[in-house]
Amino acid sequence: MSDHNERMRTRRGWRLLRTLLPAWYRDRYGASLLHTHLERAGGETARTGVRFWAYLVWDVVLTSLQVRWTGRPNAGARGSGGGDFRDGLRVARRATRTLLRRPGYTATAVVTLALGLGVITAVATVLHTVVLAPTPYDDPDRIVQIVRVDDGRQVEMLPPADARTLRDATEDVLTVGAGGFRDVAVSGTGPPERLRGVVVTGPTLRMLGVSPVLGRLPGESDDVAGGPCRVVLSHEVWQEHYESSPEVLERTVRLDGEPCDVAAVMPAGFAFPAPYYAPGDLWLLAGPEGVDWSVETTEGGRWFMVFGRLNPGVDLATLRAGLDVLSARDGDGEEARFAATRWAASSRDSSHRRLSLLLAAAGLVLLIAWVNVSALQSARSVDRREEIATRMALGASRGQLVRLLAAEATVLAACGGAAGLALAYWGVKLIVALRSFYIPRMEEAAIGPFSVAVCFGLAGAAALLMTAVPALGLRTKALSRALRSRRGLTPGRGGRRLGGLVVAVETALALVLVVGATLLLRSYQELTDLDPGFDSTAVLHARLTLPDSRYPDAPARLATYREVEERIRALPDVRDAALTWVPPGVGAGTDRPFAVAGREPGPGTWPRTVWRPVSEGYFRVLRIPLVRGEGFERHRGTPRATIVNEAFSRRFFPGKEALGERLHLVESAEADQPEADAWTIVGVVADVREEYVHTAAPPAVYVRYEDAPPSTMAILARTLGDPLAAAPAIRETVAAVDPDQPIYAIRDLAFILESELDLNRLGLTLLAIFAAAAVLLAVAGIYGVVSHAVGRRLREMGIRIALGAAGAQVSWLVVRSSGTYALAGAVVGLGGAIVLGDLLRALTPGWVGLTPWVLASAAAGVTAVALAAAWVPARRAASADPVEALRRE
Amino acid sequence: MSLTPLEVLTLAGLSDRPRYGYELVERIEALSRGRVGVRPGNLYRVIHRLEERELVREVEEADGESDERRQYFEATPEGKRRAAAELRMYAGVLQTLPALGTPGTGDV
Repeated sequence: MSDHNERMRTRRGWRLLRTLLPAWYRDRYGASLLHTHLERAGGETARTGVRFWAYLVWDVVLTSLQVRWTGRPNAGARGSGGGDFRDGLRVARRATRTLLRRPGYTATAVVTLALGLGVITAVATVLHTVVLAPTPYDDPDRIVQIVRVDDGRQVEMLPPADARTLRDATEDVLTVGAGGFRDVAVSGTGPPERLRGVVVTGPTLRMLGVSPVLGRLPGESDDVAGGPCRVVLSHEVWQEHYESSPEVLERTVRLDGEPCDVAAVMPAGFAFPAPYYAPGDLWLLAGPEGVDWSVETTEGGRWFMVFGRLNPGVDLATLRAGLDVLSARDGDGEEARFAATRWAASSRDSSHRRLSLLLAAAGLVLLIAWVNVSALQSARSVDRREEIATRMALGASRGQLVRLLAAEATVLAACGGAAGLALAYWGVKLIVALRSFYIPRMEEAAIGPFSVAVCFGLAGAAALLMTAVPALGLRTKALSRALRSRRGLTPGRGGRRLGGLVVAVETALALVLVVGATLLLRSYQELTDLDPGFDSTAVLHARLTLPDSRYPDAPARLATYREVEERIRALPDVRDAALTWVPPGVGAGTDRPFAVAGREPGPGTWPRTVWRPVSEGYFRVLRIPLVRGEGFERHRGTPRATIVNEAFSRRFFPGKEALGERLHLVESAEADQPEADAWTIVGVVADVREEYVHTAAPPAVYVRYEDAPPSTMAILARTLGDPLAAAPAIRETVAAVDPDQPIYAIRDLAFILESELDLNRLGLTLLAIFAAAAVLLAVAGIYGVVSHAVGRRLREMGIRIALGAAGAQVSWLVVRSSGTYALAGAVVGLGGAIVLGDLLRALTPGWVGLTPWVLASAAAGVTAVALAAAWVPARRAASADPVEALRRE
Repeated sequence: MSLTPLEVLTLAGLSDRPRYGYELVERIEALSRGRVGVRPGNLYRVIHRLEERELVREVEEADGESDERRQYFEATPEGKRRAAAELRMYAGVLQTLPALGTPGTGDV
């Protein structure tokens, strides 16, 4: 009994396996081959175990390759000539001719495939570049960043005391490097130009494990107190400003007027610390290490990002344990503690998630395209049923017919793949153009071998589907029935079910994408519509830095700032002007610990607030209303007058009047003591989203910059017309005051804020394109399927009309059956949309949430479109001619 | 047209009497003293090539224990002649090798 079963299993397996062999070999030696294997395994009764099958499969696969490779000896004499390859070419040529006879059909299939393949290839190419392209850093998983955790919030910029503590305490665990940002004016030939600079300690660049193309990277020994100024140039700066000359190493460049030695030039594309900085920067050596770490950075003050490389044999867990100990020792029960993350990994993660989600969305488009072309091919093979049945009757084997189908499918898929690749070329350009600088390395994305492999791999899958789906319809019984009766032209239940399935699947997939795009669009609108608390239209932003070297003391800076502000305000195109340390809403983290006079919580538990030195005109220019108290104008004589916002007042003086209260800054982290001088609150202004446009207004304190002028300020000028049109006049004005200090970062403030929201524009645009493509393809697919079904049933419709059915009734019949499937698809699609919404929420600032209203309207919309696509061919059914139908009967 | 070593072995295996697939696999192994193991699929490919050149033909084996699922092959007179000639050639080469100063490789 079991022997019998065993034998049956063997036979079945063999029947499948032997199809790999060329027909002539199979016919001549197939049976003997199996028999030889069985005897080798111990005869017919032997158990055919894994080893038997492994050897048999191995043998058959190799043999089939060998036989095909060497060709059939003397085959030429029998007229089939030249092996399988030429044979394949002949079949492909025939298939191409057949397809060219139906240009409409062929074009539809190719365009559909091209859309689906192009979309996914473009996204996959970009994702591949960003994810899999080697990072510029050596062994990036060992590079860590250490952040401070305050009230569950991660703070990246650490004060120098923290940076020093970390470096000293974790010396045996890792190499610590630290970076702050500082913009410098580089002067050489021509007018001075501002470049973005990163302040680093000696070992930082070495830690990254990237070799310079020129010179030598500074090391720990270069962190000498009072050592000479040293700078490392990026490849881009070297090319643009020094003509790629190797002599740059012997030259002295002037940074902010100070002579500085060029230590090295980094390779092209090197960016640190990405993702904040793109290529095109320079790196300044902090130099006097261990002395003060006090190089003033652009963000004002002395803030560092702390990076390290784990020493060999140390893992992240060990480092974290060490940091916990450190937090406990230093913190005295303080909330704040340090946390370590794999830096390269964490900076990659979020952009990868975004792109992966887009890839999934592109996958849905591809799926629709696949369904479409399979349905098209299937419908066509139904049309050709008679032809196929005749061929079979004339002795064509099912294999040969499948080969014919496969040849057509391959030709279509190859054309679709080629067109898709061309489409992907533009797609990649579009994605790169839409990128925000938060996705590093993206600009390198280009169509390459990987894209070709993806595109044609998926095209191959399409070819398989286009072969397999219609091949299922080639069951001999159905075919012989078709041949026997010329009436076998009404699609069977199976055919109709397939058509319905297509309607359902396409509705579902299109709905998922439409809901996703709608939600992103609404979130985006929400963000652009929301009130940041200030008016950014027609405001020009430009930054001015007065370096310590030229402006060593506060009075010198103050005089220059005042003159600049007044002269700009007097320009004809400028309505008003003001200065601020950092503009609002752009994510500049400038928290300061402070204490309210009279209630000092003690060391380590200082509350923090956004701290903004501004000029008097700040509230006027940005149209921020004063709610209570007085503006700075009334307190010109009062030193240390401050204005707070309502959020500050609510948080620190709930139910009380904040006016007249006094604050003390905790400026020095070493002392951990409030400063003696107090700041007095004289006014309260309305809430402004000072940190990010998309997060609620944080508590903020505004002080007159005159009380402690920073070395860098942003100019905000409200203009009469286009803000950028006023830029040249403003530049000249500043140059008239100090020709060596160019203004830079000249932007439309509204544009800066918009680019803050830019994170999402890529996703939004692409998802909108995908949704549109999905709807378009779904319409084409549903139209095609229903139209085909109606064509098959025209006679039936004619008879119905002959029997007295009204045209409307007949159309309704068609639309109803499609509608049922579309509704079923919509239900499934809603489920998918909810899942997608969940995934999008985490990645979308200002997420509006998945409301029943959005779901319902999208579902209604997509279903309506599906019904409309079905309704057009349904009308044709209504016009079926009863006479014609009966005559054909 | 010269013969490959596997073709020579196959011809040799079919020269004394007709053999069927599995028998031939074992015979080739024995002739080569276990050094040549032939995959059954490849064996039939070789047989096919030899058949095309009329060095091997399929025969009915009227043996008592014959199994109808077994396909018997034997070398044609021309096949036997070619096999013998090739083997003589190999033997000659092997005898010459020591004289050429090549370390003896023993028998093949």
